[in-house]
Amino acid sequence: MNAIKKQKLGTWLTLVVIILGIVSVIIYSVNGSVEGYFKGTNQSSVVIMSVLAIVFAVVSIILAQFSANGAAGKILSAITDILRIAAAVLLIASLMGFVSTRVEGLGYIFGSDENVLDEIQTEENMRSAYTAIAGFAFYAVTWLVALVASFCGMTKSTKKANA
Amino acid sequence: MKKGNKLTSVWRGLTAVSASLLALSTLGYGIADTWRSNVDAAFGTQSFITNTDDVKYTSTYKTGDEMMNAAKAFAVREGAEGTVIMKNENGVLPLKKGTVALFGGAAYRPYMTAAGNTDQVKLEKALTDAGFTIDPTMKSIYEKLLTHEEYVPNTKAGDYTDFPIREANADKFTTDGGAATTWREQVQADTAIVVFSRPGGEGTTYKPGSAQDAFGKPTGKNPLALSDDELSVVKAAKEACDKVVVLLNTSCTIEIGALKNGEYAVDGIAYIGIPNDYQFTGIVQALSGEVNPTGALADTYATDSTSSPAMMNFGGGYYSDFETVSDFDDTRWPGVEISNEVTGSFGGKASYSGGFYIVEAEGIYTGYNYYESRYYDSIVNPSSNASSAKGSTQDDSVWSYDKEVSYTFGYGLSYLPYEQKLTGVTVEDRVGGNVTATIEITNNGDKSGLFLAQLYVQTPYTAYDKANKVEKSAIQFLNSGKVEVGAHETETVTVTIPTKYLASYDYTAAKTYILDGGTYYFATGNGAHDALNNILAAQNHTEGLTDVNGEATTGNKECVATWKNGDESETDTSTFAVSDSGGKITNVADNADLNYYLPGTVTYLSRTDWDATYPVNYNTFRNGGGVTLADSPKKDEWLKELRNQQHVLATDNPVENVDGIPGVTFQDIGYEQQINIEDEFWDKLVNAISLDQAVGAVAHGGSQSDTLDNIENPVVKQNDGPTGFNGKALSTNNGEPGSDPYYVDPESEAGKFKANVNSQTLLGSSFNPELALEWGRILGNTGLWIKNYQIWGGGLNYHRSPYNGRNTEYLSEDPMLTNVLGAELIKGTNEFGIINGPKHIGFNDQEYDRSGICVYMNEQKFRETDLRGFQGAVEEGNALGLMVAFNRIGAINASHHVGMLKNLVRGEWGFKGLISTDMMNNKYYFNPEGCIMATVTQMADFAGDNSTLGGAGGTDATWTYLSVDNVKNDAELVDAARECMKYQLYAFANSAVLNITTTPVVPGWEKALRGVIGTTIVLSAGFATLWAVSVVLGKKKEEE
Repeated sequence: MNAIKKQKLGTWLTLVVIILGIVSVIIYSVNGSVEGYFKGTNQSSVVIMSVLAIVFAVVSIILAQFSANGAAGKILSAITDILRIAAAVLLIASLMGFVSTRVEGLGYIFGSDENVLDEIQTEENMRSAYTAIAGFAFYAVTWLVALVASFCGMTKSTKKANA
Repeated sequence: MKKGNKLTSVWRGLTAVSASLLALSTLGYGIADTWRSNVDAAFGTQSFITNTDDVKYTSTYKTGDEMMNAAKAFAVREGAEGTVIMKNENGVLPLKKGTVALFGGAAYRPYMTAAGNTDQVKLEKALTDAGFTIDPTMKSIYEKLLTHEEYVPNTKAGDYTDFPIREANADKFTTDGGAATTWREQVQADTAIVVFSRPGGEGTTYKPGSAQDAFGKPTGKNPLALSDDELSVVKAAKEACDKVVVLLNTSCTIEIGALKNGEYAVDGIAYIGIPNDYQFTGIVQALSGEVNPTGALADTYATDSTSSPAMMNFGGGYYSDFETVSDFDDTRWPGVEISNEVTGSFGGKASYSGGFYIVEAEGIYTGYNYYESRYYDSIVNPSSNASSAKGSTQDDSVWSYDKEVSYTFGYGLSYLPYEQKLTGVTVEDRVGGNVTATIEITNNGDKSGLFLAQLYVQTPYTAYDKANKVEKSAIQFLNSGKVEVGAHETETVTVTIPTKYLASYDYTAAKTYILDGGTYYFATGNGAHDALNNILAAQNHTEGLTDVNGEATTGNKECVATWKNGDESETDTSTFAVSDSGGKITNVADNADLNYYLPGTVTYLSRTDWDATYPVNYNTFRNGGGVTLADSPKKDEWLKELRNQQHVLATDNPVENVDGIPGVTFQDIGYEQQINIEDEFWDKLVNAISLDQAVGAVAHGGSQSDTLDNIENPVVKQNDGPTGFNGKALSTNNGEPGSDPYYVDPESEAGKFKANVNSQTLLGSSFNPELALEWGRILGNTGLWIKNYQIWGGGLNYHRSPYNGRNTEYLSEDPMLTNVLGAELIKGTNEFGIINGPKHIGFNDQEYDRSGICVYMNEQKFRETDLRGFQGAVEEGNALGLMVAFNRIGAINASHHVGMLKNLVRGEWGFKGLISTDMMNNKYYFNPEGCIMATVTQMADFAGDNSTLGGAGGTDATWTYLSVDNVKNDAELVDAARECMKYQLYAFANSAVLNITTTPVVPGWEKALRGVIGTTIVLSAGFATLWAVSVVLGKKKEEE
């Protein structure tokens, strides 16, 4: 069977997760490194969890391309499933880690007294705030897609194709 | 099979959803918990219920009588546990009941730090209460002698000036109508008790060589040496009685070598410190054997106390060009000529007060750390020149421990014979870890009794240390404990101490604490010398070991346990580079070292070569002259520090919030704020304080806090005294009978009772942290009874030398004994919500020129000597107050020292409480901007409620260069002032000042979150199980 045709919705959605995940972690990294309120506030744990989620998603696609019978088949299937579940969990954990380091700053930027807003809502700080919010959105969408993908199969059965 | 795959996908998907929701809710709970107050505000819920009727802190005692009796009982116990039996021969002690003859003016007029209660007990009364009879002949003689002022023991040590030792020579002993020689036959006592005293107190410093006789004639002797008159009394007592015991009534060690051997040798010697109102009862209990004595010497008794290397630089002197400090047009004080001369200990003409200095070139080698290390090296490391004549006072050719030391630190005799063994030591090699030692004590006596167990350590002195100027005492005290042991029984004492105290400070290379590799020897023993001998035995050294009497000994290996921390070449520079509170530890006081300003000037005493590094006097070392400021390549920086310009007001950093933004008040403080100074509430609270009052409240902190607009803060009055709440009877501040739970009838004995009955000296020689805890509790209870919630109640400076008269208020020459006792003292007062601020951080090493003397030292000394005593009170005791010393640290006023107060005390030790200056008696020496930047929260000007810089358009009454108009251009200073107020208010909020209870409750949102977490745990487990079953069964069907 053609490798492309062999793929089911789960694979395509997982690919979307990978792409969105990469975009999310880039946004997070940029948000913590460019001039603005959140410069220097990043935690390595968020990056590590995000990268692990992406790696798990990639590995799950690769493993799904193989099939086996008997105990090996069970183990292969189980590992693929676990990686997909773990990827979704790591993505929401990354989002929460991201949020936890930005709550105070967003409150400060958007919730301070009016007489000091001019000093706080600088161009850099506002860019920093909106980047963070965009990052939240990307992580959230990535996570939702990962959840949907986890309901879907990844490849059509080889046995069935051969038959 | 197809159905099975579909089910697997469903279970997998549901597992992913439920596990994700579990992660979401769990992590979300963490965020919500962090921002609990905001979440509560958003949902209109509350997490804590505050009950102002149900108080958090209550006294242990139901009545004033109970309170009074507990304080008295403590004082008696302190006297008993603090009495140190130093010599006991010919069965002189315990005293046999009968008649005793009292000799020495101090026997009848002891030096006391007395509360002044009417039922005060002095030695005579304590003896008669215990069933002794006072010999009438000697009493009659002294009653007459003491009518002459010249024979009344001196109660003022003076401040580095001549000291008359007022003791009547024995040739003045006459009886009515009798010849001078007949009194001896009339004395009816077998035992003579001779008492000698040396006073102390605030503003007093002994001066070597300044002794005078009773009539003011200079004797050329040291004031701490026994005078000829005193020795004549000893001789007379020996002639009149079969046995003689001498009691030492002092905090400044008297030179008593003559009493050990030779013409003036006596049968017994005991240290009784400086008693308060009731300690003499306990002292007599110890002397008479009613209790087994367990006191130990908190200071080394040197044969000649000027033999300490610290005495090479004592008193201090002027920089040769100190006037150049004044040669300056100070823009803060335009047109004012400000001198740079010494001001008095209690004030005087205001000046920069930066002309005087001292160099503490002895480094860490003070007290027994010097004598014992040199003893050890004289045996083990002869190449260190430990036996050279340098520093010897008793022999021109060689330094000899036996000749230089009469009695060492930690020494004290028990009446009951006993043996001790160190049965085990465990070391947790991490921040927050502990050393735990078990010491087994066997009572070989026929009575049960109390026993003292002391733990010491010798840490490796490695090649790394020698190369990087890290010094190590050959023996260091760690901690101690007491235990009651039945006759012929054995008990185990467990002694613990934080492992961090094994680390040494490396100020040159690692610039942090290091833990050397190699073997650590832990030991127990009767004092530092005995413990060191035991270590020598464990190291198989047999030659040259001597005991307290200078006789050959072998030591006892059973009193030693070792801990191997890798190889000596492996130096751990990271584990203890972080403090308990997570602060990074690195140098904070480089410029306290004179070598910072004048590189290569000071040589610090080192075990690498005792002879070559023995200190010189840095006030006379250059052709009789001292240091010249102009010689420094950093002269301008140096002069700036000496002119007290640690912070220069900014003119270009405007303050946005000048008037304060009203919002929350002190009355809104709840549990969340009490436990967390990081709570955003605190910023809101202090931002409500106007610039005028934020800076003004620090500048005029006074002896009470000030009322501040907008925040409804309480006024908190302070009290001062390591002996307890000074001059306050229990009925002071009585409320209404019936409604005040601490009402005491003012006419009753308890109502008139003053509970400041502690004796710092006897607390030190008790060596008992549990006793310090008990005193802390008494102090805390007293505060509740008299409604006084803040006290400077712990003197925690160490005794750098016996010549500091202020030693009366401090515990010991040893910083670690001070550390462990101080920590327990603070824990005790904290239990009752009383803010107990130890004083005077740091290096109040002499009172002479305390108001500005520059104290130079290296950072190892800075951290491991005086500050070590305060570290326990802050890190282990969680103190909420500190008072700063008058003197400078290096060239910087200690109250302006950012390195010590902000970086070390707050940054490393995690201190969150209030800090006060000592008495603000010199406006050119202390200034608000310097104090504020160093995080001092209150300058003690002793004024009333005066928290203002003069208001808008006005200027400050004292610092006339300060006004709202110019301070409002220094946002950094104003932010720091508000931060200071935060610390002060936080301390009040965690004390009986805010005596409320708060009960945590679970708000609706938290219940919902907990429900979601619980549900998702169940669902995750369930779906995961179904998924697993589906995978297995699906595949089975496939195989079929």
